[in-house]
Amino acid sequence: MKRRYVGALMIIFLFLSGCQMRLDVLNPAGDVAAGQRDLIVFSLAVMMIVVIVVAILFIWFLWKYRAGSPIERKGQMLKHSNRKLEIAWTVLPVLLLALMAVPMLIQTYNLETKADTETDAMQINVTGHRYWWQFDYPNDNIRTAQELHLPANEEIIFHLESSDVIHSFWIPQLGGKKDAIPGQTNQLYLKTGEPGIYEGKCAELCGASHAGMRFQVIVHEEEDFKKWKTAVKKEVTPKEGETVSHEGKRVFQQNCLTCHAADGTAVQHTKGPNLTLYGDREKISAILPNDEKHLKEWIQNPEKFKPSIDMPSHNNLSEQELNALVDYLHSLRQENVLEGRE
Amino acid sequence: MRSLTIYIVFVKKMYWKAGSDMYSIPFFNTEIKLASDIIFGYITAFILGGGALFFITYKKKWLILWGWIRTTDHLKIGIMYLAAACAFLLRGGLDAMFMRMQLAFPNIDFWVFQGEKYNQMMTTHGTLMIFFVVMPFLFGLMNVAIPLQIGARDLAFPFLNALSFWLFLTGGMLVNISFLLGGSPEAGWTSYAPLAIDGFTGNTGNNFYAFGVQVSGIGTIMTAINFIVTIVKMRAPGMTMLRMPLFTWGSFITVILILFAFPALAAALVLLTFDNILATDFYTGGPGQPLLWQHLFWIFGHPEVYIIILPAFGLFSDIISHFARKAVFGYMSMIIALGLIAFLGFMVWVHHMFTVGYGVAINAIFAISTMLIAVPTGIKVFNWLFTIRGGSVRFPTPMLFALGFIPTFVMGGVTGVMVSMVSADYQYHDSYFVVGHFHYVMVGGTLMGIFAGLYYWMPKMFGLILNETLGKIHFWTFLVGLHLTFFPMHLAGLNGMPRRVYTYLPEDDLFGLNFASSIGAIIMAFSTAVFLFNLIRSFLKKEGDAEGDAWGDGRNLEWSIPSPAPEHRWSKLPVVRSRDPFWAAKEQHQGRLEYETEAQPYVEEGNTILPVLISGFFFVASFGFIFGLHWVGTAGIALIFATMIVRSLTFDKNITLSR
Repeated sequence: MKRRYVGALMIIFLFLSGCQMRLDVLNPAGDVAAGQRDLIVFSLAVMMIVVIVVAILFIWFLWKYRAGSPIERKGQMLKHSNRKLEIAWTVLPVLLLALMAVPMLIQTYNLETKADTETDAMQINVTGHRYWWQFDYPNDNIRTAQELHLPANEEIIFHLESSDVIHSFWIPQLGGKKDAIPGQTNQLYLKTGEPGIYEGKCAELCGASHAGMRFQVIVHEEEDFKKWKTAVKKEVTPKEGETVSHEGKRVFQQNCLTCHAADGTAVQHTKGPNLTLYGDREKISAILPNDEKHLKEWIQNPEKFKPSIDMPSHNNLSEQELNALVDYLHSLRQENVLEGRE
Repeated sequence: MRSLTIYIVFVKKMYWKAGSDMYSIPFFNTEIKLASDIIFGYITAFILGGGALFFITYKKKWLILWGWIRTTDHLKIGIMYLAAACAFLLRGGLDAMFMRMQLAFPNIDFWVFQGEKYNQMMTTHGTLMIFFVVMPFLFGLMNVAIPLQIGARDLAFPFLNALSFWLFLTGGMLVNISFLLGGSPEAGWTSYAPLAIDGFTGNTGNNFYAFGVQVSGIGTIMTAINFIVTIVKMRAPGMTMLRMPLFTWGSFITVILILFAFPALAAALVLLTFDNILATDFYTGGPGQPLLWQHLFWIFGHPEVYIIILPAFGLFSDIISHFARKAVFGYMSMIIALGLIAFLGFMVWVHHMFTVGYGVAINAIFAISTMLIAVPTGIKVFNWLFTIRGGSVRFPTPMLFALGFIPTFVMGGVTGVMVSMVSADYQYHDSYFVVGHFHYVMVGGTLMGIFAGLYYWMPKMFGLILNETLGKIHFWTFLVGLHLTFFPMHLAGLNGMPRRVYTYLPEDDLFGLNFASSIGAIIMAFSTAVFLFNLIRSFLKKEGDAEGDAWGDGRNLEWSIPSPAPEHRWSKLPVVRSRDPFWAAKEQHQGRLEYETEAQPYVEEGNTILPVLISGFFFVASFGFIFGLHWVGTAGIALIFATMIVRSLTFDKNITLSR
């Protein structure tokens, strides 16, 4: 009877191992996430002791005392209570829990005090909107959206706010989440590690496109991060000869500028996400591959990819205008800025 | 056949129109958008409703139905609770299947269930399963079994009992019909503000949620009062508190929890309703405080977790001791553990809010108190194991469910301890890890308990034992399906899958895990179908007239009376001299219980239509306020009070003194 149960679990594990599992939380890219990974693994190990003890007793007792087994039932085991045993299974779990509570308390204390007091860490203001994230670097006067650029091996404090409903800011490979709640500011402390690209998510239900409320985290080497900081503030001006891009800029100013700015210092046109350095972005609206085909589809009907989004469909654009616009957006690249095309 | 073709063509046509607002019918302050799922819902409702009406008329059952509608008898009300909960289980299960199909592959569109519609399904699934499946199932079992277990003739307040049931059904109907009348709630079963406030999500749905849960919650509070009085005052002679069966004990602690927890929910819902209908600002982000809702909700919501697990704990104790032919090990420590769990259950609610930004002190206190709950729970697990030790264990279906529960629940319990660890919870919180955890506890704990109870007490309700072969197929497929569905969810959570998302990207590496979950869900659906088939088959065949002591080795009073329990259950009340009185009687007096020498007179409540009327007026009032027809709402409330006055003035005509 138990064999079938074990069999079912085996199938699950085979299935999973066949899929070459990736577990972001257990594969951290920063010290905070690494600490949390250690705590998770430690607590799982302690808890497995409990599971194994119960499983052994369960199978042993059921087999030994099944109806019709020849074993004799007598004496001590027929009693309806046993002081020593009962004390044992009250005290031992308390000890196990104490064993788990100590590292948990230390870690929680460290994370929360760092979030509240660390002053020389980098500060970033994060604002959750339905359904995109806005990132402000107050000390550098930078505003961007949907792509979070961070330097490697750096301590960062995020100040989380929301402009509408509750969101939750989560980068599994960098550490645990914290909520962005309207009417208050929460602090979250994280530390980056190796450079790389990591996925960020909104973890609190925020409406129809909650699933699409994501962001990419790009951790740069120190040098690259400095370059990005200079480039991001500036808007790319198309070269003299590039008529298509000029046309694209015109289309952008006519149709998009009401909500979107294209330079990372903008304080106006902030209804929608800032589109600075759009050509370098990994994804469109943090969910679609940033290529020509998808960008056109997105502009024509964003609702298809993010239900209930505020951005209207732009079916009014001609094929030519659309091409020019996409061309312009994709020309917003760091290399173009650094070439001096401001 | 022809009409079916027309229907299919019609649905297909509508399917392509889904999403466009082309077909929408104005309906008071909202509109009904005729998407294909809504049309499917209407047609299903008409077919089921029409079929039921036809069946009742054809079989000439109207008089019998009239009797059931007006009944105040605990057994009949219990059966109605169970039947209604079964129906809602199918609806909630269907929602779950839609969700699993939508999530089976990355970036796909299954039917209409994306975005808003997915959120509606997910919200309805949660709300139905918690408030309108699990709780009424437990109330049904409590109604059926507790008076029999403690030797009471009925509950203390039979009229109130009927009213509770009809209020629950009214609330359930409100939540169920919402998607046909302009929108289901879509802010999750937790209905977090400000998302659940007009402007962020559909107001109709939010009102349906608030009124549906509120109305049934009123019934729930009355049920709690009813059972507390019954258990304290109506026990048979000699049935002291410390001789009660553990199912009665678990239920007793549960109803006490309800009495303290549900008023918090009622208050929270009133404020939410004000925010939505009167545009007040209790929970809005600006002047209001979104966290106020979370506190009020979880002050109810965490005890709720224990409300739905403690009766199952008690039931498993009874079943394990029954089929191990041995008294429960550590009866006293079982009761103390129940009490401790209930007590601690009120001190842990902030662990649902670890990420809202409270500092280390608050989080640490609530983490420690949460971890402490593991201790009494562990005591119970070891007591169950040591009840088996030295016994002689048989494996009929109820026992299989009880035994399948133990390892499953332990797995759900240890992940529960893991999520209580604050800094690690920052990773688990609102991810699929948590979804996996609470489904292990609720499906592997409570729902398995409910199935065990249904099989176990089926003889007392209908005088039959369900087919054991089908029962065993039901159990094994359910167990396999449950683990296959919910185990991968832990891993999906660890791979960064947030809760309540309707899709994920191919590059997230979540496909394998989600696909496994969806396969598991199909297995569970099959398992439920086997169970339904078993029920229907047994009712049609009426096989095997069960004896009073239907399973053999019965220990408690309910097995001393015939199956099904006769109309007048106790002509003379039994006199109880020890725990497990029926078992003791079999050992010492050839199975003959001792009864009181002279029957005492007792009060009997007659049939009455008033509970249905009052609930109907609650429906009218809710309908009025949901759709902005305030005069209808006000009239409904006036009628509720009028009916209550009628009851107060005439209640003595409906009761008789019997001997």
